[in-house]
Amino acid sequence: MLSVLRPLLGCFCLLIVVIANSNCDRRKSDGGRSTSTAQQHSSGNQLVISKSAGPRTFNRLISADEQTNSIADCLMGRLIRINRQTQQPEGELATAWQTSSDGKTLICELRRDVKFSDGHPFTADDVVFTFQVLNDSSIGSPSSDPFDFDGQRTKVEKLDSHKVRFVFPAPYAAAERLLDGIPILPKHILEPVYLEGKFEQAWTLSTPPETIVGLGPFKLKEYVAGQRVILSRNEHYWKTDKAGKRLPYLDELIISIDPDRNTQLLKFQQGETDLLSPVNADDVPALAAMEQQGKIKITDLGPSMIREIFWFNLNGSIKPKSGQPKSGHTLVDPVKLRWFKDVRFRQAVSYAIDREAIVRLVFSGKASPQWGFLSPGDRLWFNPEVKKYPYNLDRAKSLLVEAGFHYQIDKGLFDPQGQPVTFTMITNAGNTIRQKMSALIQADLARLGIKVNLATLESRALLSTINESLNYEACLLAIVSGDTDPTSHVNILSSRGITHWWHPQQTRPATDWEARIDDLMKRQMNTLNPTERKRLFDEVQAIFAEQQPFVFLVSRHLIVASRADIGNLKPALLPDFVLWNCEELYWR
Amino acid sequence: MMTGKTFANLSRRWSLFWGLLLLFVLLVCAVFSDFMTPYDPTTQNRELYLAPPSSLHFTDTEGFRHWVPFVYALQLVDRERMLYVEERSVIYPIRFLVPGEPYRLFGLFPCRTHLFGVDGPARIFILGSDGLGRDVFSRIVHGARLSLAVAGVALLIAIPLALVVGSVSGYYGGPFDFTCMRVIELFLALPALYLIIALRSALPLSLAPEQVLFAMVIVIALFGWASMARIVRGAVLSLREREFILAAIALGASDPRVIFRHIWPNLTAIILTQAALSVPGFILAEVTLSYLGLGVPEPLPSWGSMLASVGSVQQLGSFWWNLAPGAAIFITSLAFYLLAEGLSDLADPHSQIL
Repeated sequence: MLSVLRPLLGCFCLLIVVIANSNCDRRKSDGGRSTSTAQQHSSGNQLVISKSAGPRTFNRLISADEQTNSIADCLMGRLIRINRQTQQPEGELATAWQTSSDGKTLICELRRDVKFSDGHPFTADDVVFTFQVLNDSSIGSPSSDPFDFDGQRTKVEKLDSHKVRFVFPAPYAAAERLLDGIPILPKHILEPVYLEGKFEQAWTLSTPPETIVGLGPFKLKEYVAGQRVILSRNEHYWKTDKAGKRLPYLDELIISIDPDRNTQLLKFQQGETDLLSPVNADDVPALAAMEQQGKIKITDLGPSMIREIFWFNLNGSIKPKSGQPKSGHTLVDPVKLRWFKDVRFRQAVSYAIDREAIVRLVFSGKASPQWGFLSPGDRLWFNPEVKKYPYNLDRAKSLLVEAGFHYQIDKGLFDPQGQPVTFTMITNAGNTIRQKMSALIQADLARLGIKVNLATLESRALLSTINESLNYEACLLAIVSGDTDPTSHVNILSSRGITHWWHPQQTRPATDWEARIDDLMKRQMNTLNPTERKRLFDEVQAIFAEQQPFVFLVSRHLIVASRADIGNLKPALLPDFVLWNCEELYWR
Repeated sequence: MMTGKTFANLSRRWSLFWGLLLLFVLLVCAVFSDFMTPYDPTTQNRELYLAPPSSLHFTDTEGFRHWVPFVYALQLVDRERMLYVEERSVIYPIRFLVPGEPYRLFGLFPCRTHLFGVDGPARIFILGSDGLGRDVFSRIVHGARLSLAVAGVALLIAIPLALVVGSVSGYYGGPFDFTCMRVIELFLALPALYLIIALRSALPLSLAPEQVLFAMVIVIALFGWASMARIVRGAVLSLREREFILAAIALGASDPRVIFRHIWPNLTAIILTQAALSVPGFILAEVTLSYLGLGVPEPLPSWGSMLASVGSVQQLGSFWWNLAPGAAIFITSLAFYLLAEGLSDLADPHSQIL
C-alpha cells in the first residue's frame, strides 16, 4: 500500500540548509548514565515481526528504504536517538552534547567502555571514520544529504579518544536530530574495505553474518533470502536496565518477510508473528475478537504522519532545472492553469470535499480529517489554529461564483471564458484506498459541477510524472514525515524543494506567499529558540492552510497490534513504529 | 441404446442451446442495463456502504402474508463491525416498472423507468452494496455491457486481422509466411501485461474514460489476433492442398478468388469457434487490467475493479457479496465456452446438429 511512499520517505528526511545565526543552545542528556528506564524482567525467548519487504543491504549507510533502515537500526548504534515517544533527542553513544554559541559546531562526549559486537572497543576514531565515508561523494550515501550545505560538507574532528566535534558550514538549529540516522561503523572492520574502494560491496545480503559488526542491541545471525532475517542478542551491547542487567532482554528478533498484507494478518492471527505494524483499518474488526479474549492488544496511536493529499499542478511553461522556457510548450493547459492558480478555486474544491465520508468509507473511521500542513500527531509543532475547510457546498459554490465561474443548468460549472471545468486526477494503480478516495472526490466535485477524470498509473510512472515530466493536472497521493522537526519539511515547503510538488524547484518564488514561506522557513532554521521557531512555523502552517497548494484530506491513524504479553512496547508515530526501542522489549 | 457418438452429439446440441441462451440473457442485460437495474451504477449511498444483500420478506411483523415481496430500510448500528439492522416499522414492497434515476436508453432516449425498485428511503440491493454504497447488482449488469463491448470490439479488430494475415501467409507460404509467423510468435511470447502497462503510461493522461476504454480495446485486440492468425494459417495450409482448391486453380481462378470464394467459406466454422473461445480471454484481459487498476477508470463499473476492492481476507470473509463479479465472469466465460463447443460441430461435415 505504501509502495509509492517508501521511496519518498527518504526524501523527507533530506534538508536543504541555508543558515546564518549566532545563538546558543546547550543541551545535556542523561549525563552518561547507561541505564535504560526499562524495568527489570527475565530475558529470553524470541520475538517475530512481519515486514513487507526484506533488507536490500545490511549497510545502513547506503540503504535508502524504510524496511532496510529499520532492520539495520537494530544492528547499528548511533550517537543520538530521537525518542519516538517523546519526539525529543536522547543520548545513545553520545553521553552529552553541546552546540556552540554560533550554532556551527556541535561537540559530543562519547560513551566509554562500549564495545562492538565483536568485542572491539568503540572510540572517536569510529565516529570520524563513519563521517569520512558519509562525506565521500563517491559512496553517495543517501544519509549524507542533510550534512551537505550547498556542496560544503560537515567536518568531524576527533578532540580526544572519546570526544568529537562536528563543524557545520552554516548554523543549524536542530543539528543533533540528524545524528539519529547515522550508524556508527566499526573502523577496524570497514576501513580496509573502504581503502580498497569496495565499501559498497561490503555488508551485502550475501556477507557472512559474523563479519557484520555493530553497536546495536542485536547482531545478524542468519538471513534467508526472501523469507526471514534472524537477529540474535549482542552480548557486548552497552545499555543496562535499572537493576544493572545487560540489554537486550530478547535472545532473538526475527523479521519475517511477508510482502502480502493478508499473509501478515493471517500469520499474526495464527500466532506465527508477535507484532503487526501497521494494521490496516479494514483489519481491525478481524483482530477485535482476539483482543476481547485478551490475547492481543490493539493500539490506535491516532493521526499518523501519513497525510493523504491532492494538489493541482501549478507549473507554468518553464521546465525545472534547465530554467529555459520551452517555446509553445506548456505543461498544463493555460486555461486550466488559470483556474488552478486562483486560490478561491482551490479553497472551493477543499470546501467541497466531504472528508468525514473519506474517514468513514475509506478508513473505517480510523483516520482524522486534516486541513493544515501537519498531522495532529506532530505534537510539538502542530498548529490547530489554521483555516479549516469543513464540508460546505454552498460556501464552495459562492467562492467559485466570486471567482467568476458560473453554472449552467444540467451542464455543470463553466469558467469566466465559458470553458467547462474539468480536469484529470492521477493516482497510483492497485491501491484500493486511493481508488476509493478518488471515486469519492470525483462524486463530491461532480456536485460542484466539476467533472473529474481519473487515471491510475503504476507507481514508478506516477513518480516520474510528478517529479520529472510534470505534465499532469492534479494528483492524489500521500506525504510522510520521517521526523517532526520543521526543517525536515524543507523539501516540500521551500519553493526550491524537489517535493514542492505543485511547482517544484523554482529558481525564484512564483508567488508572494511562497516567498513568505521561504523566508519563514529560513528564519526558523536560523533561530535556536524553540518558542520563536514554533511561532514562525505556526505562520507557515497558517499560510499553507489559507493557500491550499496541497489540499489535505485526512491523516490515517497508526494502528499497531501486538501480543498482550510483550513488555515495554512503546509504539510511536515515527518509524520504526514498534522496534525503535527493540532493546527493551521482553516477554512477560 | 445410446452410442458414444449420439451422446456426444446430444451434449453438443445442449451446449449450443445453453450457450446461446446464456449469451442472449447477457446481451439483454448489456443492452438494457439501465432499464434492468434499479439504480445508477455510480450513485453513492454514503450511509449504506457495505450493506448486505437485501432480504426479501413475505410476512410482516404482524404475521400478515403479502403476495409481493417487500424489503425493509437498513440502518447501520455498529460501524466497528459493520452491522446493519432492518427498520421493521415500514415495509417497502417491490414495484415493477417504477420511475427512478433518469438515464438515456441506448444512449439516446431520455427515460426514467426501471424494471423494478422500491420506494425511498429504502434501497433494494439484490447483491448488497460496495465500499462506497453503490449497488453491486447494478454495477455488475452495467459491467456486463462494458465487458461484452470490450470483447466484441476487440473481436471485430482481431478477426479481420487474423483472417487476412493467416490466409495470405498460409496460402502463399515462403518468406512472407516465415516473417508473419515470427511476428506472431513475438506477440505470443511477449509478456502482454507489462507491455500493456507500458502502453498505458505512454498514452496521454488526460483521457476521458471512454477514450481509455477504446485504447484498451485496441491493446487487447493487438494481442488477441496472433493465436487466431496461427490457426487460420494452419487451416489454409491444409485447405490449399485439397482437390477442390487445386481444381479451382487449374481452372484459372485468380488468387483472391480462390481465397475469397473457396477458402474463406471453409473457415467459417473455425473462425466462429475461435471467436467464441477468444471472448472469455478478452474479457479476462480487461478484468485483469482493471483489477490492477490500469484498466477502466472510476466511476465506470468494471468487474475487474469491483473485484479489486475485495482483495483482502477480511473483506472476503465479511463482505462476500462483493465477490459477485467473479460469478458473473464465470457465467459469461461458461456461456462462450458452451457456445464454442456447440459451434465446433459446425466444422464437422458429418455433424447431425443443423
